[in-house]
Order: sequence, then structure tokens, then C-alpha cells
Amino acid sequence: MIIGFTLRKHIARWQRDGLIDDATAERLRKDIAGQGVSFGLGNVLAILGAILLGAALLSLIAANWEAMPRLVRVGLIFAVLWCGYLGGAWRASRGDKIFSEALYLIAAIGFGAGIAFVGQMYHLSGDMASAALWWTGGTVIAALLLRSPTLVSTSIVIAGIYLAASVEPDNASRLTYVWLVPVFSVMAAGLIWYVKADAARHFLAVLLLVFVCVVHFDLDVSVILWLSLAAGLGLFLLDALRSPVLDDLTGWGIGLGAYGFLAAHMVLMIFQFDDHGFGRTREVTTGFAILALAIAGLALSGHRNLAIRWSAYAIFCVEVLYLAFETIGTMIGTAGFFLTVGVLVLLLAVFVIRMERRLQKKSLLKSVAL
Amino acid sequence: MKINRFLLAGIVVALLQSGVLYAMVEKHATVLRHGTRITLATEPVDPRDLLRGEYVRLGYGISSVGTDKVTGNKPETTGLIDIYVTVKEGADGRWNFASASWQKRTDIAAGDVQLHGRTLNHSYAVTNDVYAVQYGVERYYLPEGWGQTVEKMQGEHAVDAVIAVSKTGDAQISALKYNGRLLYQEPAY
Repeated sequence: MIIGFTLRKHIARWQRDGLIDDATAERLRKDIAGQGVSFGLGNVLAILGAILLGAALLSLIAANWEAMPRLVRVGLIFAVLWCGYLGGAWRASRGDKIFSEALYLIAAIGFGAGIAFVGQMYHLSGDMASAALWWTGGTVIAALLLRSPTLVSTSIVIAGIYLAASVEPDNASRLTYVWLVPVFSVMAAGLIWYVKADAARHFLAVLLLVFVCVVHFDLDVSVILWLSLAAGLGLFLLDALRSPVLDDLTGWGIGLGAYGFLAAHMVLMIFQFDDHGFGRTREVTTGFAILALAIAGLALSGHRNLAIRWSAYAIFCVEVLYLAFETIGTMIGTAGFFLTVGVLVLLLAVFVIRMERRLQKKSLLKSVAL
Repeated sequence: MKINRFLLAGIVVALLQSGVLYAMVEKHATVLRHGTRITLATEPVDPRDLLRGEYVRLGYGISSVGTDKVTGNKPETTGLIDIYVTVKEGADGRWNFASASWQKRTDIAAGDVQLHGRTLNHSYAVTNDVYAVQYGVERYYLPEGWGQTVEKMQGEHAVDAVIAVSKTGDAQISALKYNGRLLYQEPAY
């Protein structure tokens, strides 16, 4: 919607300056109006509204909790579940894609709250991780049966809660997450494909990145880092060199390439973080690897993969400044440091501007060639 | 009314999820209905921290088990590990520690009751040669206003907890007694 708004302003300007005739302008406006009606601010607001309603409901219940007999409370939780799922199904059967999802989301949150409340009210012992696991399972089944993209995303977020809770408790099954999260990810990928939950792909990618960090820092193993470095580089190169293949295979070449690129960078940065204690040479070597990868990203995919382009800029700039701070920053005074950083930032700006010009030319040439 | 695919899916999901919640409620109720009743004397726990919110913390004689009293093979895993504690009825109707084992025992004497507890297995978890054992009956949520009363009575060493123990050794608080008089009865549902 917002993009459409700015576009309309541009069209009006082009029309005024005589760049396009009135008929073309009218046709362009019609095209914008036809596009993207189903997606936009309305969707986001509906989901936000659902979350707020859920939160309001929870705090209302929490405030009057003590005054209600236990059975009434359980009945209330059941009512939230049934109203959410049946109401959502009713909206879905009417072709409503927004409020059905919102109602499903309320019910899924209600299920999680129900597990917590019933466990507390009936004095059932159990840890947070297993509760989150039940919650994830219930939401996955709901997402599958209701074919709800929102619930797919929700279940991935809840799996993240499970992952976070798994680091905490002291019990023998604590390390289950090491194999459970990968298995869940494969299932979630299937679910994303089946439900066509495009937004959930981002949640899953982030969950996997977090998983790599948790495994590395919790268990102090570096195998997982090397594995994800290889996988990340593989995805990045596949997208850069054989993008049609990756796109045909997964339908998400751009995203997979970008997340692979990010994963490789994340691993290199963890290496750099871990090397911090070992001395400067290794840290600087890793730093150069990070810079080289950022440049490779710009050179290979920058002209068509915007996500890679902007993360490469950001990583490149942060890394240059970090290296400057680590190497010369300690040798010179504050004023000298600001001077150096100032010069560096200006050089980086020149680099980004020149790069942008080249990449835009390259992507124009590519699209003409196509 | 013709039930369409969406509504059917909604009903199935709602049934499944409420089923899970109902199973949790029923788990509690089953222990209360069919469990063997034992009475344990409660001990005050760390006086400054007795009451947190609306629940009382209850300590028992069997909450600490001497390290030399446990038989069987201790599991190697760190974190919470299972421990089975057998109690025997005393002359005054209160039940006391009889024996403890790392594995579930099948040869306990008739009339004795075996409780399934958990204890932390860490090098630092053993203090004064006792294991701190939890049975899931250490906290008790009370209706508003009850907490202060029970806390005061507990200080007099006069509160007993009636505990229902299932065949698997899982425990649920069934009632609290003050000087033998019923103080609070836990409803099954």
C-alpha cells in the first residue's frame, strides 16, 4: 500500500512533466490498484489486533483468576480454544483470509496458556521445555489440519521458545533439543510447502541460525559451525552461480542464498568472537575472510539479490570499523581514532556509492539481455 | 447444516487440544481418586521464604535423604534423576522414611508405599551428606487468604499433609490437616 502510494506520486510527476501520456498514466494507476490488495497494512493490523486481544484476554483472566473456581477457569480456556478454532474455520469457509488467521492465532495462544494454567492449578510437576513441546506439537497439528500459514509461523516461534527453555532446566532430557529441533525443521519445511506459508520461511531460517548459536555456546562444539559454514556457503554459491536450479528446486532461491550468506557470516563472526582471546593475528585473518565474503557477495549476487547486497554493505562496514578499532584503535588517542574512523566512513561511503552504480548498471544489462 | 471441510478441521483441532488439557486435569484427578492415602508431617521451610504469592511451601521428613541410605545403581546423567523412596506408617498414623533406591523396587513390604521423587545430580548438589528430594508436593496453591494462616500453623509443627500416591509413585496433595483436624480438602476437579 505504501509502495503504491509513492508510486502514484511518481506517476503524477511523470504525467505532469510529459514523460508519459495520460493514457499510460491511467493504465499504470489501474495496474497498481489491481496489485497487492490482499496483502498490506490491513493484514498486519488484523494480526496485531489479534495479539493485543489475546494479551488483553490473558491479563483480564489473570486479574480475576483468584475469584473464579478452578473448573470455571478450565471452562474459560476451553471456550477460547473452541471459539478460536471454530470461529476461524467459519471465517475461512467464507473466504476470509485475515480474521480466520487471527482467530486461529488466538486459539493457539490459548492452548499454550491452557497448558501453563492447568499445570499450575492442578499441581502437575513438569518443566517449561516439555510444556513448550506440547504447545508446539498442538500448534503444528492445527496448522496442518487448518492449512493456516499464520499457525505455521506460530509453531516455529513456539519451537524457538522450546529451544530457549531447553537451555534452562536441569534434567536428563535437556539435550533432546539437539536432534529435536533439526527434525522439527524438516517437518516445518514440509508444512511450509504444503500450506504455502511463505512468511514462515523467514521464521524457520532464523530459528536455524539461533539453533546453531545455541548448540555452539551451550555444548562448546565447533563441528556445527563448520557444518553450517559449509551449508551456508553452498546455498550462497548455488544462488549466485546456479540460481535457476535452486529456484526450481525450492522456489525460494533469493531467500535461501541470502540466509546462506548470513549463516556463513554468522559462523565467521563467531569464530572471530572465539578467537578474541587467542590474539590479534587470528582475529585479523578471520576479519579478512569476512571482508572477502562480503565482497564476493556483492560481486556475485549483488546485482540481483537485494538482501545479500544490503547485508553485505552492512557487514563490510561494521567489519572494517571493528578491525580498525581492534588494530590501530588501541594505538592512537581518541582524537586520532575519530579522525581515522571519519576517513574510513567516508571511504566506505564512496565504496558503497560506486558499488551501487555498478550493480544497477549490471542488473539493467541483465534484464535487457533477458 | 452441512458441515464443510474447514469446520470439520476446526472441530478436530479443538477436540485434540482440549483433549490434551483434559488429560492433564484427569491425571491429577486419577491420583486423588485411586491413590493410596498417606499422612506426612510437614516442616517449615526457610522461614523468610515460606509464602510466595498464594502458595505455601511444604517440607517433609523425606525431603532430605541420607546419601548412605540409597541402594541401587546411581544414574550417571547430570541434572534431575529419579529416586524411589519407600515410607512406612508409624504408630501415630504419620508415615516415615523406610528405605530409598535409585531404581523402582518391586519387593516392598505389604502396606508400605513407594514414592517417585527427583533429585539434582551435580557435584555441588549434595550438602551435609543428604540428597534434597522433590516429589511434586512441595508447593501448594491455596485460595486467597489461606496462605498466612497455614504459614502460622506450620510454624507450630502442627500441619500434616495427606498425600495421594498412585501405583507409579506419583504424588498429589489431597488435604492439609491442623492438629488432626481437616484444614483444606483438595477437590478432584
